[in-house]
Amino acid sequence: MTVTDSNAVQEGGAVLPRLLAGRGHRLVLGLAEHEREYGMLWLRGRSGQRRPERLIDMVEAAGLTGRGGGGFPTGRKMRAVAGRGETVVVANGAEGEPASAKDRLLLTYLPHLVLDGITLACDAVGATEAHLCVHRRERDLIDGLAAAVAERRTAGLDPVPIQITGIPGRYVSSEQSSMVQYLNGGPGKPTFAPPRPHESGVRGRPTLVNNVETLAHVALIARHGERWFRGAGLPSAPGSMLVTVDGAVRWPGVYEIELGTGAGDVVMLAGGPAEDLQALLIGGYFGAWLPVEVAWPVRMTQASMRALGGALGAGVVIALPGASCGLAETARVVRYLAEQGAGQCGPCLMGLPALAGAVADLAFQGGRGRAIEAIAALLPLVEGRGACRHPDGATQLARSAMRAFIADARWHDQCGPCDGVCRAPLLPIPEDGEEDWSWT
Amino acid sequence: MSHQLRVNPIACNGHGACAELLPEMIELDPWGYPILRSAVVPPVLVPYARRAVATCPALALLLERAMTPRPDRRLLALTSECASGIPPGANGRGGRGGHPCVTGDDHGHRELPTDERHLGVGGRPAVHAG
Repeated sequence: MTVTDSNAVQEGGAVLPRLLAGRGHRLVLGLAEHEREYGMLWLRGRSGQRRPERLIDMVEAAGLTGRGGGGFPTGRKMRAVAGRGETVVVANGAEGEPASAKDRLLLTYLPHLVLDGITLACDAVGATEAHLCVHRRERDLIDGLAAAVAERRTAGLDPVPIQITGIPGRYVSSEQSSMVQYLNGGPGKPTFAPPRPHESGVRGRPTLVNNVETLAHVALIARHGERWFRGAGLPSAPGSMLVTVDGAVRWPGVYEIELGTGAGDVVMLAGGPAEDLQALLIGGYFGAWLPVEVAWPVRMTQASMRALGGALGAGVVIALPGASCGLAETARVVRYLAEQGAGQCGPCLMGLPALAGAVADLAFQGGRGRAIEAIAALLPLVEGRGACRHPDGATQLARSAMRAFIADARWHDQCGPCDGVCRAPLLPIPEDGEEDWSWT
Repeated sequence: MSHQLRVNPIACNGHGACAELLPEMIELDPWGYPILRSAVVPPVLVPYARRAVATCPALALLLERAMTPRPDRRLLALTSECASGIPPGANGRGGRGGHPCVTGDDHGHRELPTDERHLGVGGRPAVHAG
């Protein structure tokens, strides 16, 4: 996945980029440059009075929602944890989504924005412990973050020391309960809820788990206020978000958009289609395929994506060219997701490989007139029956593929695989992480 | 006040005892793992649900008290005939209701968030209010 600069976009009066404003001349934004670009961080308010809960009010009024995929209101999440004794803040920078690059971009080039957000969140919820979790195989990222944290320690910026933790590289390990379990000394698998992390998380303390982009937004809300934040996006879905655009576009990369921007505009922002498009995958591997004529005007908000049976996810938009086979792409991803499960819950352990087998059968072997029914029968057996949302994401993707590529599916089922299956895979499937497999 | 069944999918090993003991509410998928027809337990079935919970070798079946009674009408119609003649609490336990769970353990949750989708089993989100 390439990581490129975002271009300044001006839409609806709000000046973008906001988060990526510091993504300019130099590569990594040091502390001094960071403060020059975004302004100083005031933990105590300019007049010196101290009321940490004020930040929660601001975040709530700003209408910030989680940018990691859940889309849960951040202010409400903070309020659930605040004032409950010694609490813990966990920043999730372990980008589980293979197609997404936004968290890595933030942590690599703008680490201080995220670290500001962690410190602010710690202050607001009264945390005594802060963790920043990234994949443990990304050693360069961990080194860079350690340098940034050391720089801040010298400047005395973080009252609560921020610990950087490398977590296992599995897809399900970046789920919030898995991270909490790993920080508690476990293998990093999802746990049965309740209790949820905000009730009993790291060391049994109330724990606030937020995506790093969400925390970067918190850092900007603390500086500019909720009205400024609401200056971008829609009244029902305010603010800006980072999207990763990939596939058949001219300039794949990470861009900052206002919420509510049309999916087609996002593709145009990335230079437009590089060839004829047939569908967009919005929301990444837990999202949904939409035929391009349906997807083009869709607004990038959680609500409009849910209405179409998808999810905004981590803001991934992948353009599928007309010459590729959507079923083959889906089959590879579902196979990958089936392998990436924690192997804990029966329906996911047995059902996802069965589903992956059925989709792969349809895509690569031809269904011999039976595969479509087989897939339709398997989907409800898997959906909603795991401890985490892992199986639900895979079924949502498979279901959307069967909807968006139904003509292709019928062709495959009756006549065998199409020519598109021979094209090089478009969706990124990570190699098996070496040591990450030996966890059982 | 109504009772809700829930399966801990991590603990469940697919023994299938629950489906034997509570076929009115639980069926098995092709791999032997339980699918709940409805999360809400009709009052007539509560004693049987308790027995199924107590029998589960993996302690994966949970019976919890929900704050708002929401009986599933289809299930009531289905179960009124098979439970005829057996009043609720016939085994002397059904009428009791002071514990949030049959084991007396509240599983660490004091209040359930009403705004997060709480995953039930079988694709139906269990509804918690309160």
